[in-house]
Amino acid sequence: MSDATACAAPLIAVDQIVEISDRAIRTIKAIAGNESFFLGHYPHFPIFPGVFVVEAVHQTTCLFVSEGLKLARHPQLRRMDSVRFVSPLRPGDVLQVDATCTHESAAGELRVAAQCWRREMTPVAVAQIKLRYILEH
Amino acid sequence: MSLFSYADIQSMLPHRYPMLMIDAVLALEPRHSIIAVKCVTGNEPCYARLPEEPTERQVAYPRCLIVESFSQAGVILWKQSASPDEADNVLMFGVARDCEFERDVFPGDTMQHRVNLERALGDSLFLSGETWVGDHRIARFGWLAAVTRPVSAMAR
Repeated sequence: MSDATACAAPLIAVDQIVEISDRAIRTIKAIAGNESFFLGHYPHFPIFPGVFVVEAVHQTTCLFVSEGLKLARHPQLRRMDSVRFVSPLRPGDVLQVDATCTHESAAGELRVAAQCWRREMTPVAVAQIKLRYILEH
Repeated sequence: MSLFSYADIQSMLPHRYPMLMIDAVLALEPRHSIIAVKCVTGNEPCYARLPEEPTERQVAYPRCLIVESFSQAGVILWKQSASPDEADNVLMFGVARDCEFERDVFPGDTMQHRVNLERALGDSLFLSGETWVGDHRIARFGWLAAVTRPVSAMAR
């Protein structure tokens, strides 16, 4: 999936784009219990690492730039303005990322505000994440 | 020279391979600060899926793992600062604010995390700090907030 998974990454954090426009994107990731990181996070109680939710938002952003903005630019993460984890994810859960992206083309900056959910009949909030990127050539 | 053996580090962190991301502790002042080290190598799982001829940018160490490693240094600082009755608890990171990345990290680099314990209040604590490679600052962490929970609370 383009630049998002061509970079070094601890996991493939996006399975599928569900919706995309030039301002927003929704992706999902099914969290399988046989992912190798669960061996060590943690040995007797597997919990999806919180930073991997941030990675999911990052890979979602990479897809937004190439598929939504249709730009051949590399989004370089410059700031985590705020990250708030609300509830954990475990094997068998499905992570849904809803990201709203504001592109300041003059400054080459992209601001991303993401609501992350556990996908269920009624989605459960997992995290709120605000990131800031520079779009590099 | 590390203040703790790798076995000691494993006894302080619940994380294990491939998620244990501290290799050594260089300095420690309980209830105040820690300097801990993570060596980045090209045989880590994050490099498993690179294209055959990756660009330099594609080889940059994932920034989410810099945050994870920094946080684990914070866990060791807390373990060395906590009272014995809290020692079996797990630390859960809840909030991060105003964290800035200045440079990339590559295989062969040794990250040095300099973590300060800003405040501990009940079951909450607040950390700040910086990550360096050699003379270069890689990241600044404005503040991270974490809460401690008994291991039993982690079961679903």
